Amino acid sequence: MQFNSIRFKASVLYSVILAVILTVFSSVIYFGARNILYHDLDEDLKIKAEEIAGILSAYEQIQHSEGYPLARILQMLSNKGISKNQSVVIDDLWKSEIKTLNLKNDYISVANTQGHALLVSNNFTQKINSLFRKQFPSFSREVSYKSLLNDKFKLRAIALPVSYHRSQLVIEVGTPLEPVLKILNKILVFIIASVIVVLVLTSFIGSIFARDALKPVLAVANLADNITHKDLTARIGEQQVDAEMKHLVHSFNGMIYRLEQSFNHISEFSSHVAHELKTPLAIIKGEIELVLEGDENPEEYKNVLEKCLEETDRTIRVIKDILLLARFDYKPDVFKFEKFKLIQFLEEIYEHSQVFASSKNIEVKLDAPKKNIFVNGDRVHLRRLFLNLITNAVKFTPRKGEIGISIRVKDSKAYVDISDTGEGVSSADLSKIFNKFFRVRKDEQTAEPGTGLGLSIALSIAKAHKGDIKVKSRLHEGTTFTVILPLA
Amino acid sequence: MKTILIVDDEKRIRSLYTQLFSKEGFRVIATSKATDANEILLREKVDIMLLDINMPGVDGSELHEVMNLFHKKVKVIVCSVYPLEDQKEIVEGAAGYYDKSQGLRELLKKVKAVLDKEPQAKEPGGADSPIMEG
Repeated sequence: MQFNSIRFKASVLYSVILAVILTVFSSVIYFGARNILYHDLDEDLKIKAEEIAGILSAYEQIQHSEGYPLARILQMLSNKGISKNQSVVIDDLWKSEIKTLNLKNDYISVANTQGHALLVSNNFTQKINSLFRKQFPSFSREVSYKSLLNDKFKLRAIALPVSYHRSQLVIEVGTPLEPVLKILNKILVFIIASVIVVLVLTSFIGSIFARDALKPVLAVANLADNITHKDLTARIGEQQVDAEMKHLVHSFNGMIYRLEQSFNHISEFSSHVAHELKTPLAIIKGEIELVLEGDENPEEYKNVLEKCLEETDRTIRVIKDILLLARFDYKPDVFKFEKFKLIQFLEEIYEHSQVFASSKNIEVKLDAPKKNIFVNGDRVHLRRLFLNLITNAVKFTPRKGEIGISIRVKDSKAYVDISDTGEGVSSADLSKIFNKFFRVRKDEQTAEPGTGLGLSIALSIAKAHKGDIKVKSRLHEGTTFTVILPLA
Repeated sequence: MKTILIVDDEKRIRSLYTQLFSKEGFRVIATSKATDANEILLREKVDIMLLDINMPGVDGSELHEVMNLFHKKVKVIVCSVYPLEDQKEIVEGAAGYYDKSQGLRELLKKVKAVLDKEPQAKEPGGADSPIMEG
């Protein structure tokens, strides 16, 4: 697994989120348990302190001497033996109390309100004393609890204010924290261990999930690896993938489809181009072969050379048209747009077309409204468009026929009709008329036979102007091309 | 004398092949349209036909299907600018295939090879002038 992979990032993110959740959850459990344990301990301490206070008040009633009872109590509490000469009955009572209160391990002190320990239990060392004094520095009227912690001792302690012989004292009881800390440590160890186990497991499972979720991506990549110009038919099945991946797969398939379309288009076009160029070359080759075989007179040689020249010109025309089309289709910046008057522009075209129509005695008519119509376009290329259509019309219209140029405006678009009284085009041919290299028939009579690209070029120019060309035709009646251009 | 029918929409190709085969002593008929070729085949005794594929209107492959049905005896050499493999795919089962860029010598060789393969009864008659149609 790579570190910059989605799979790695997904499983890391998954684990981090889980780690945060588990940490919060474990903290709640740990501190909850801690609170419960401390609370229980504090309750215990309070009972002990109150019992000791009870003992003190009992002593107060029986013995009226100060100091002694306290020392005695603490002596008893620390289980250091009892002298039998006084208060035996009560002592016995305390003995049983000590047992029931389980005070053997506890540190007990009685301090005055200035914080000086008056009496302490026998296990009360100097170090513990300083610990107590540090934590309970001054007298308080409230019961207070503290955790007394240093390197050696860990105690939970209570400070309970009592009154004794009309003076205020504080009973302090400290009990070792070790049992509670032991439990808390165990809980902590258990929590950390389970969090680690859970995290390792989930990152493992997460990585498996991520790998599963990313499988379609790998499928896409594998398929993409296998796609070459030789086979663009491959597609990824859209049925099996998840909803999120469907979009990617769909886009990918769409891209392959578009590539396939344009690749087919290009290879079809180049094969067309090859055929178009091969024919004049085959003719040139044949003519040369034929003339070389025989023993022709100079006139015949000249004739062959003229034919070869014409075929060479034809080859050049095809190549020029192909380059033009390629520029129109792939370099839209060849068009230099400017705003101009369409009627005026078409009048120039009309005058020009009259010249070359006159050779076939064809009359050209112009029907234009007397108003200003502005178009945003490239005059040079639009001129080519209209002359292509008019040349075509002249080519396919018999002598003494008619060609009409008319202009209409509708829905902020200019409609320019170029109609002829030619032989018309069958509906089967009409559908192919804008195809590259499609010819209705070979126009062998004209000096410059067409390349079969004229209408494709005209349509490309119209499309570059966000316009279109439509064609209508009736056999033996004529054909009308309608050029649609948006108004400026 | 053998009769050869040239079906090609390219005028210069027709004229070139007419010159070639006339010199070789063929009776040559040339036409630019597949529909006209069918009429000629009904009318004339044709031994061999040079058939272009890509023609406006009815194209070569369509005419070849008609030939298979009605003019089985006529040998057809498909004659186009397409590469030979493509020609064989477009028009199946022709007697021969010729790529126009291969040159006239190759064409003559192919025509003779096809005619020699199955020698047919010689036609009576003299050297007619080539018939140009279409």
